[in-house]
Amino acid sequence: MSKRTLYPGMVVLLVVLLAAALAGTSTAQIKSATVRVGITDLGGVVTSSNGPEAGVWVIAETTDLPTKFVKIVVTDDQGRYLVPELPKANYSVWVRGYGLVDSSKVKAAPGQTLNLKAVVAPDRKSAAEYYPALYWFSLLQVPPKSDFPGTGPPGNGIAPKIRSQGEWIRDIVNTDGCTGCHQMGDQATREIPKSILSQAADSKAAWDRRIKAGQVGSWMSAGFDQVGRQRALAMYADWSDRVAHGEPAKHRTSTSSGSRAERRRHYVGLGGSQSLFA
Amino acid sequence: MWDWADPKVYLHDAISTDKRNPTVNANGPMYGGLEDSGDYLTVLDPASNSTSQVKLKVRDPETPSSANMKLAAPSPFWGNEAIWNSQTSVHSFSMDKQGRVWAAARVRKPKTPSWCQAGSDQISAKLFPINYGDRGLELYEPKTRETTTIDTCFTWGHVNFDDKDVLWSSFGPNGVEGWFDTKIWDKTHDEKKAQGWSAFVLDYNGNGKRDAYTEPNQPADPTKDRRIDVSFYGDSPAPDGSIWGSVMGMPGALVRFIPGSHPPETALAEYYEVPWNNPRAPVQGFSPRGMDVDSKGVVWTVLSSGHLASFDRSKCKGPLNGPSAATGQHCPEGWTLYKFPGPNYKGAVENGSAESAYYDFVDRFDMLGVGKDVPLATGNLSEGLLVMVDGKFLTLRVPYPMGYYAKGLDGRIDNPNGGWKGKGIYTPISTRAPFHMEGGKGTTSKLVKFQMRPDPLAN
Repeated sequence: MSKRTLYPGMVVLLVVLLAAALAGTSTAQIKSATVRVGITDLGGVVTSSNGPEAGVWVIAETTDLPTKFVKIVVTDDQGRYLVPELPKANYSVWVRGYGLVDSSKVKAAPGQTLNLKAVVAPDRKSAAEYYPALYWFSLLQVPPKSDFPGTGPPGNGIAPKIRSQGEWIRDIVNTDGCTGCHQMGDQATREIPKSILSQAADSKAAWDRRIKAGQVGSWMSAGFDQVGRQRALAMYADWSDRVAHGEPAKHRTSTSSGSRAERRRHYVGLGGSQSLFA
Repeated sequence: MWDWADPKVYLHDAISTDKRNPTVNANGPMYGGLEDSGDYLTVLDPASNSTSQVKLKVRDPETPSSANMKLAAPSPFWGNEAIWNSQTSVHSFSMDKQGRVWAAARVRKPKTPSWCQAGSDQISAKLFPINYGDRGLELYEPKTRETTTIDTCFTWGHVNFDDKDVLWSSFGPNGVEGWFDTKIWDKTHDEKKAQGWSAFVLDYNGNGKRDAYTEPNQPADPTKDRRIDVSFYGDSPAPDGSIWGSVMGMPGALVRFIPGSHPPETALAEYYEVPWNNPRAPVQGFSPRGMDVDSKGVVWTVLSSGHLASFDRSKCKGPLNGPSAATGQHCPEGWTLYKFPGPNYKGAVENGSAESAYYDFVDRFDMLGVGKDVPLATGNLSEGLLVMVDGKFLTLRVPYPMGYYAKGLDGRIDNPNGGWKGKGIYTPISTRAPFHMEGGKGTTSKLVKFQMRPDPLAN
C-alpha cells in the first residue's frame, strides 16, 4: 500500500487511476510511449516514489515576457505531459497535484524533454493545502432549519426577516453574501490575519474587526447587521476556530468504483481535463 | 494565463469578441473592466504577451468616485491606504461587429438629466420617468483609440447585443429595462434618440397586449395589466427576439421581456420564479445571478442554492399570461436543477451544494471543444469552471495560483480551421481581493484562457 492510500478520497482516486493506467500496460509499452517534444514545447514524464503520476498538473511559468505568463497542462494515464506552443523564454517548471506537495522548480526552455519528479504529500494536512476552497468552506456549520424564521437578538440572534435556512445561506454565505466578492475557504479567508487576531479578545471579535477592513468594510459589516450580526459572527468564528484547531478539509468523492471510462471522466474533472490553460 | 493589471485593482468582466460572432477581433486585444477599483480598461495583446491601458473618462467631473468610500477599518494588507479610485466603475462589456467596445460605465452623478424625467418629450420618459440612474455607456474605438461617453437615463450592468445591433441593459433602476440602438447612434450620435426603456408589465388581463396597468402596491385588477418592480442582474437576448434576465432575491426569478412593435408602450413581461416551497417541483432552489440563453432559447442560470438551472419555457403546461401566471410559481415543469459537484455546508438541508457560482456562459460555438450549446458556470469555490456536458459536470480547475475566481466569461475563435489551437474560452480572475490569492500582496488579476486538446500530448 502506498502512502497515499492513508488519505482516502482524492488520494485513493489517484492510486486507482494509476492502477487503471498501468493495468495491462507492460514495461516495454511504457518505454515506447515517448513524448514527441517540438521546438516550442516542453514534455516528458512525471514520476514520484509511486511511479508515473497520472492526472497531475505541470506548470510552466515565466517572467521573461512583457507580462508574466503561465501555461498549465495535466499528465496522461502514464504520467506523460506536453506543454505546447510556449513563447520563447526561460521557464520555471514544477508539478502540483492532489496527494502531492509542490515539486522543486526546474529551469527549462522550449524544445526540452524534461522528466519531472513529483513529491508525495508527507501527510494529510500538507495534501489538503491544495484542495479547492470549496472543501474548506463546506466545513461551515449553518444554523439548523429549525432556527428559522429568526427570533432576533432576544431570541436566537437571527433577524426575524430571515425566514429560512436557504435565505440565510443566500444572504450571508453564498453569492449574495460573502462569496459574491471573495473566494471563501481559501487560505486568506479560513485563517484570520495575525495582525487582527492578536488585537482581538477572541475569534468572534476578530471576525467583527476583519469584516470592517477596507473601502467596502461598511458594506460587509452592514450585511452582517441585516441577518443578525452576533449569530453570523459566531458562525464564521466557529468555522475558522475548527480550521485553526486542525479540522481537516472535506474529502473529495472517491471514484474507486465504476468503469475505467467513468473513472477517467472524473479524473478529467479533477485534473483540469485534457486541457491547456494558456 | 497572463498577468494583466496592477496589484491594487480587481477585475469584474472581460471581453474578447462579439458574442454573436466570435471570429470578430480574431487574435486581437482583450479588454478588462476594473469596476470600483480603477478608471482604465486593462488590455492584453496575446500576440506579444504584453499589456496596456485605455484611460477612461467621465462627462461630469462631479461623478461619484470609489475613492470617497471611507475605510471602516484598516486593511491587513494595505493599512489605511484607499487603494480603489474609480469614477467610471466599469462592470461589463459587449464588442460589436467592428470590434468596438461598449462598456457599462458611470459618466455623471446619479441625478438624471431633465429629459429623463417627468415633463420630457422623450417617449420612454413620458411613459415611465427616471429620476436617478447609475452607469451609462462608454464606447472605445480601437482604430482611433478614442473613448466617448454616452448618458442613458437607466443603468447598465451587463451589456448584450441582439441580432439587430441593439444593446440591452441590466441593473434597472428597479422596474426598468433599457436598450440602446447602436445603429441610430452611428447615424445620429444622438444619445437621447438612440435609447429607450420600458416598465416590466405582466399581461395580467390575459388579452395578449399591453394595456393600462396597476402598480405593484395596488390591488390587482383582472381587467388591467400589472407592473412588477424588478430589475435584471444578468440579461441575454434570445433567438426569438425576447430578452431574458435574472432577478436576484428569495426565491428570485427569470423574467422574459418581449419588446413588441414599439417597446416603450408595447413591451410585456413574463415572470418565472425559481421553484421554492413548490410541491410540484422535485428540487427547490433560490436566487439566480449569472445567466445566458442557448441557441434553442433555453435559459441557463446559476443559483445561490448551489445549482446550475435550466429553464425551458416550451415545457410550461399552463397559461403564460393572466392572473395565474403572475404568481411566478406557475411553471415548475420548465425548470431543471443540477446540483453542483462537491460537498454541502454542515447542517444545510435547503440548498444543493456549498459551491458558489457567480455567472455562466453558454458556449454556442464549441469554443471550448466539448460541444455546442454547452453551459459553463464559474466554480468560484471549486477554483475553476464547471462545464455541463450531457447532464454531467466536468470541473476544469485552475490549480495555480490558488484562488482562481471568475465572473464574466466569453470565448473566441481566432482560426476557424485551427482545431483546438484556434479557439478558447477566456475569463478574468475577478476576486475583489487578488491579494487573497496564492502569492499574497502583489498578486494581480490574470486573464485565463481555457483550451481542450484531443489528447494530453497533442501539440
